[in-house]
Amino acid sequence: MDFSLAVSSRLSFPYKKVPLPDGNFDWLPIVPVQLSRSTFLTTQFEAIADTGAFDCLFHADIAEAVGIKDITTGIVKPSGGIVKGLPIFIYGHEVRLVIGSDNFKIQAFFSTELSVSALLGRNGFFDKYIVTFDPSGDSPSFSLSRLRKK
Amino acid sequence: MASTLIEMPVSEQAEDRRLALLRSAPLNSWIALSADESKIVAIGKTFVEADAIAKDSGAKNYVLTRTPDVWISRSLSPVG
Repeated sequence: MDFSLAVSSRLSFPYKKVPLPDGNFDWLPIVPVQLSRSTFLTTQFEAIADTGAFDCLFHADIAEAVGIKDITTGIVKPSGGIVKGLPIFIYGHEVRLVIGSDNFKIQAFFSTELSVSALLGRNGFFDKYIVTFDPSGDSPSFSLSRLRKK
Repeated sequence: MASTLIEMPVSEQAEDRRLALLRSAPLNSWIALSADESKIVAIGKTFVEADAIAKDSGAKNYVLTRTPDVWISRSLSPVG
């Protein structure tokens, strides 16, 4: 990839706490995002920055908010997890991902099987930003610096 | 090009409040958290339903999130 290192802005977010059993909790890098498509723009929702995810995956419920009535009309492909098991089928639709004042076109994949709102993966998110994870300190944080193609 | 750092403020109390709210929320649901994450302003079975309830309540700048069927540690990609 041929990118300049110029960045117009850097967004910094705190990690967010999510519950675990027995009163424990985990910290997750959660980004508030929106999706847009045609005249539709969703309300802001939480998406987890997940370096292990190939694609940007969204719960199927979010598709309705951008006017996609049937996710299975999109590009279908199988997607597997980290443990053995049958792949699930995910359905791709072209949308715009909105992060702060930035927005860009991505192939978003939707699934009814997702247990969380959304995962931001390598294709469509990590190829757009320099992402710095900083777990130091009492309140871990991470930052996004937008890559601009030359 | 000059870089601008935009930081999202957070406090430990706010994070603990968020944690308590998530623990109190129904599982397998969509919830709308107020902008300061001090309260749940809507709960719905779908994204659109929770959003509509939040809008109807007059809430502004809330953020939607989904609670899983169970709170456990996860290797997220791609299914839970």
